[in-house]
Amino acid sequence: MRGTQRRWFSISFTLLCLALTAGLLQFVRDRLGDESTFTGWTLLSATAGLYLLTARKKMIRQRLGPVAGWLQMHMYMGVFASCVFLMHIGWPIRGIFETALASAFVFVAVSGILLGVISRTTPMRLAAIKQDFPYERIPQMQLAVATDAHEVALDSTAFDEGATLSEYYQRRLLPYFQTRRGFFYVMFPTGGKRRALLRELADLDRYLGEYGVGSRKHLAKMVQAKDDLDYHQALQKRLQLMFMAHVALTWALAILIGVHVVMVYRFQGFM
Amino acid sequence: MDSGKQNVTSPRPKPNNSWVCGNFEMGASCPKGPSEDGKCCHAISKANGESPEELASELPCQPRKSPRFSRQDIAINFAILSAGILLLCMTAPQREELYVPGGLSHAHAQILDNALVSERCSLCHPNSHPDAAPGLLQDQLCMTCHTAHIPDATRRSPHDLTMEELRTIRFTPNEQQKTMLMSATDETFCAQCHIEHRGGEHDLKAMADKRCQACHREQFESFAIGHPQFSDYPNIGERRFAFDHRAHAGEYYAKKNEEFDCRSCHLDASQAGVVGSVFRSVGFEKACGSCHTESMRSEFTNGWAFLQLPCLPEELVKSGPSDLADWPLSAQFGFDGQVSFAARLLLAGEPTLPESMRHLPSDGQISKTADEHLEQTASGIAVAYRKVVREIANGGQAAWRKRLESSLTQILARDLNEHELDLVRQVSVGLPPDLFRQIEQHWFVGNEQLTQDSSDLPIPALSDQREQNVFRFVSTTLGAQDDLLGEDDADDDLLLGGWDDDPPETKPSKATKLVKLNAAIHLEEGGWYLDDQFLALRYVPRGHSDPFLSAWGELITIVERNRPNSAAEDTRHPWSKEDLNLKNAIPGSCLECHQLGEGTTSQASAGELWANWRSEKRPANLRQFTKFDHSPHLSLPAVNDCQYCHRFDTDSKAADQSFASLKALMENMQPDDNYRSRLVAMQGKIQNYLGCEFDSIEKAQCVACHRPDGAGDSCTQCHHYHVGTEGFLWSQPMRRAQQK
Repeated sequence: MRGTQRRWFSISFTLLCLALTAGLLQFVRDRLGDESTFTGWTLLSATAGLYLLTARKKMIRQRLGPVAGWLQMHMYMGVFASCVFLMHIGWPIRGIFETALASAFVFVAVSGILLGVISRTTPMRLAAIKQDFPYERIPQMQLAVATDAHEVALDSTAFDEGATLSEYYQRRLLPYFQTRRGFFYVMFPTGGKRRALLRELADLDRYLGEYGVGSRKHLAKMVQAKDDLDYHQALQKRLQLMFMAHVALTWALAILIGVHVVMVYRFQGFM
Repeated sequence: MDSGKQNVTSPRPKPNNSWVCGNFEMGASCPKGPSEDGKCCHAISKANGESPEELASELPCQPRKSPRFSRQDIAINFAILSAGILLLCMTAPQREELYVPGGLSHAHAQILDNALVSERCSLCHPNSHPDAAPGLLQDQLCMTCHTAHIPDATRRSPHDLTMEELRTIRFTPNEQQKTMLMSATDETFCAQCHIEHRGGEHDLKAMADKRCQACHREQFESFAIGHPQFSDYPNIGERRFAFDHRAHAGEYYAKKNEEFDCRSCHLDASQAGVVGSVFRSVGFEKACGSCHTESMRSEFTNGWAFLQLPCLPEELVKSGPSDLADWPLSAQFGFDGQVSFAARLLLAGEPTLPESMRHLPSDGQISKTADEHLEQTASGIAVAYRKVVREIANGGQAAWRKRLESSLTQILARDLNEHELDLVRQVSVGLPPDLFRQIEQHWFVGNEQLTQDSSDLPIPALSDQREQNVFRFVSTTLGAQDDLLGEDDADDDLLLGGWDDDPPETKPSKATKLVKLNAAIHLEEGGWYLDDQFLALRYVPRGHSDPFLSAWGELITIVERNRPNSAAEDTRHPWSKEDLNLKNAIPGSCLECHQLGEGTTSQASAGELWANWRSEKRPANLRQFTKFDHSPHLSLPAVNDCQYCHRFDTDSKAADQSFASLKALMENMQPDDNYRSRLVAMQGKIQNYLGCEFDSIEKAQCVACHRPDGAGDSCTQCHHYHVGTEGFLWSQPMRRAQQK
């Protein structure tokens, strides 16, 4: 099955399951059945299905299909569980414990949805850059670029064409090469800084001699290389942080769900 | 910047490794990497005595956790944190407030807020607290408070009905077709509809229309579209009063040139009933009194001759039984006098009398008795009268009650039930025995024997005796003492042996001239008196709803309704079935309006049947299937005219015979063999006529306002869910009548 077909099949199947659940809920509601129990157990089943991906990741040696397939199932089941969650809760949510449970679910669900979106868009944005950089080696490469830029800046003073470039390097480029980008850049990486520095560097040409212009061009390449590395790092770090956020509350959520189920049945007199 | 190829001296870390070399990011990681417990390879090599040259990195590092394992650490830490917080909350004094899934509705909150925090949950939730009663269901806890107003809800069945009652509404009588589907389960739970913990403003009774249709077969879109038309709403059911609305509106009120206003008879703003301040009747005094009081009083101008001494020929008195020796001289001029049905009932206990009384004509006129039975009947009745008067004069109300009980027991051939005994007590209340003593002393001669023979009885004090003898009637209502008959007091004194000492101060002066007793004037509030002219003991009712008359009416009707079907067995009754005309037997035109009715009855339900004296009043907390409150409707100018909804049926099923003609037919029916069956049929016709006086309300009249964007059209606006057996029976009056 090709990717597009697989996607349409998955979307259709998820919508079918949702329609079926909504229809059954209406049926239960019209028949004076216990709709909370119906949606509750459906939600619990779907949520338990979401944890199967974690279990699959643990089982490396068993032949249970590729993790990518499980991930697909996890994503569509997540969408299904989120919709059933909306059917299950009464609005507005009341009670401190119930609010905590719903918040945890919403946090996991929203972070999962964002993770899905980011994981779909990030490869395209990374592919826009000519070169691939392994995430864990980016700091090493950033260091190399910074070292090269420093040498170019020092060398530019040896041609007696003035200290314009070196002063500019010290004032503007040194912090750029030597420090990491901020959290806002990691979440929303843009080329604003890169464009600003390149424009400033181009504006220095009127003060530079022949060799100075050559050094300036060299520094401009270093700026672009650093920005590419930062961009790579930011996109991948964002993905990593979102994944961390998605995973962080999973077990806490499982505990809250367990307490919720026990309390419901205990208070109804069935336990 | 050679980054694409794998660096063999500083390889990428394996994803399943827990730890990563601290120098990796700078491209100086060791191939060996940190140990599984996170120790740097430099430290391990140093400990093992290996050469540092083998390591790629010149400097030792601080190994870091790999990203995967740091994620797991965070997840586990959050889980532990959550569990800890939850456990902490469970030990907190306010744990109920932390775990409660939302605020209670106002109705419950105001009750439960007064409870201890530790008890609050367990009042509604079983097993929620160690102190909670074990083994209970949540519904049982609900019913600990709600039993009072919805007692049948403990059945936990649809509409709180029994299976038999449900079966009757699930099947139409004729087609045996299901009109009501089974719900998801025949066992219902409170929480199916009443969902708590939705905050104070949440309406626990709010119910979506769709949910009603979960069980009801007849599915429809809304009240306006698809709801069945009303076929018999408001259903009239059985009528207790024969009130002809059409005749009153079109004839009687028109004659008096008065406006026929429904509110004057049905509206009582000071009360609140099941349908607001509108009632079946607001009582005779308010509704009917202005027109009918005078006509009722005129029927009793001289009172009801309960007991009248018959006239006998002088020869019969002299030659007859010795008991008649002292028969009043004024009643010795031929056969005359009337024997009331009540007197016949009183005398029925005499062993030989019922047979002779059956020879009396239906109106009780002795003179109309057939010649061959005349002498025997008249003398038998006279002797019985003599005996009764003497008994009651001596024994008082107890003798009266005993005789009546004896007569009824003999007629009914069974012991009296509680209601019948109560009726006997009611007709004994206020009976003045001193009037019977005066009959003895004034009407019968030779009555000195009375005081001598009654020496065993407790003789009242002389002053009391005198007082009793002076006054010739006693009001049952006021206990009034009348001094109108003081002229005979000298004789009374002599009869009682005169005054031993000083006469009491109350002795009326001989010079006092008293006017002649006139019941219409002197007995305005009702009571007993002696009619010296006709030698009758008369009773003047208090007015409408006189307890004595109504009790007598019930007793006579009970006697009549318990008559054996076979004429051969029918020998105990003091009158033949052809003779009885209930209208004559029960004086005061009671049956003009009160539908005491005919038909079968049982001993147990007798008391309920006689409730027809009063208008049917539904209990204030009654929950019928359909509910309606007149109050908000009557405040609207568009519908405050009662006849907007209650319109006379112009195409009546009984239109061929008017009410008046039906009544006239019934009154003029002649006693014959088929009298009783024709009477029952006629009463049925009258009921039918009254039952279809009004057209059923048109649904469109309600839809005019009751739309989703108007006054609302939800099911629960007009229908109760918690009906129960009582509401079920009240909702279907005819079925209730059939069951009885």
